[in-house]
Amino acid sequence: MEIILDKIKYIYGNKINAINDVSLNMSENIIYGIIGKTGSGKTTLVELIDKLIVPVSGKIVIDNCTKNNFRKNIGLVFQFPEEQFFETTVEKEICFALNNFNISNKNKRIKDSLAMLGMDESYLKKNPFNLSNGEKRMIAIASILVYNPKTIILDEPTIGLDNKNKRIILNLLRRLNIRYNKKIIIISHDIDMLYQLVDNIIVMKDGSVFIEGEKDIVFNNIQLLESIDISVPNIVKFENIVLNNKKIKLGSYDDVKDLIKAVYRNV
Amino acid sequence: MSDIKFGKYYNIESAMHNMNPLFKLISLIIYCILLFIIEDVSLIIVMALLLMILISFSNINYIYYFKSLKLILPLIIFIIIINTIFNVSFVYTSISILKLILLILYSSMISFSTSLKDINNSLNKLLYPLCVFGINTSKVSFSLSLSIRFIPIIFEQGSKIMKSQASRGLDFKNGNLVEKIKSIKSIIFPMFLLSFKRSDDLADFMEIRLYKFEVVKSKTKIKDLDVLYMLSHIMLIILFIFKYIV
Repeated sequence: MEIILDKIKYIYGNKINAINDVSLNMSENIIYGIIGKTGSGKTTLVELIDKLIVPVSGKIVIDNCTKNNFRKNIGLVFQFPEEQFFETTVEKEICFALNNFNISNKNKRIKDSLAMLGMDESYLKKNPFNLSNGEKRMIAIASILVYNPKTIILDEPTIGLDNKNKRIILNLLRRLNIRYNKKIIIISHDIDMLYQLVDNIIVMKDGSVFIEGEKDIVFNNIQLLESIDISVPNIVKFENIVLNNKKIKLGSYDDVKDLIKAVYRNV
Repeated sequence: MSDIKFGKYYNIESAMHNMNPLFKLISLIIYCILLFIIEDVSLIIVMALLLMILISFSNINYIYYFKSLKLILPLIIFIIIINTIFNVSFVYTSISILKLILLILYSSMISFSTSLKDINNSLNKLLYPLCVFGINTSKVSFSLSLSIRFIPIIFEQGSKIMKSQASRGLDFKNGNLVEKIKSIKSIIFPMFLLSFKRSDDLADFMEIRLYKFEVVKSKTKIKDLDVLYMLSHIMLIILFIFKYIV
């Protein structure tokens, strides 16, 4: 599923350039990560992709989608998606999208979406408001997975979650991408988590794409990223120290512990 | 929905921002009462002109004022429909709508240029005589000022929920009336829940920070501009008396 953005511009109110001449080609079914400081236009960009807002100028081309079915093919999980709940049972809440899109085979789809998240059927009759924050987040994600969109966009999906739930979500996203060939676009401030998960990175600054490409290439521009207050993953920092410090001689250590000690001594 | 600006405060420097908040509230009351009782077109035009001058002193773009009018757009349409059905004259309908617009614009100007703390303190001073009847005016004024400030937050939240439900396939534009009414449930319910959550959080924060309901006695100097501002409203009262009583 191709998503192509061509010179997109979006303005909030009458002044602020929220998105400024953004051109992106997200053709491959890989995992994309969008990073940037608060107010850099990350959320606005994904709202434009889901056609929740209309650009002032430019073109958004979503492959294989007609005017009516594009939303069925793009699942957008907002920040704190549990705030959208309004039904009395988990089953009804997950079923909401199925009713809106007139999708049949509801029971199987609901159970499958829960199973994908490692949740059993006992949740179906529970009140979503009585669940823990982590469980609520899972149900919100299940309510998107249930209609089987080709692209899944997640805005800060792990914010406020404990490590166990974070791991479940990360594993799920990886599985959705590899096994079900879904395109994943994920916005996050958790750089280390993104480095583990994504293939490509898009760095936003003041409504424009600052730098984009494969994660290793993007994160190797340490100074450039730090000039706009974006930190690089700890693993990249470590790698950079090891490779650039002449006092550390790779190959002369028998153990990883010795290498770490050498790094510690020389930094 | 998030475009609705009514109830927001813009923290900038302007003559209107520096005006005495108590005078602003008293003037708002005078302006509203006069708007309700005046029927004369020339006087309403004078009031509109005065408002335009005052708005220009607030250093806030006119577009923000007109955006706050979005809030009453359904009401304006309703007035037009009802007045057309009952064959009310065009002039009377226009005056009613103009009055409503002026009312919202004046209230917006006060909310845009007065901080929550100033509204609260001024309301407290205004309501102070009610203490005689055993009413806790501090609590009343705090609730009133908070509810004004909550309006834009609730609408912003509503806009987010609408987008969230739209991404799950909810169609607000198409479908019959029954479907549209049903879809409102998916927006109103989370909005209410979030409002309750926010008010609970706010109550907790206030308790943690040992908030006390008491009148903050601040001595604000009355400046020339404050006097001029008040005088302009007294002039309106005098004009009204000349027009209707003398």
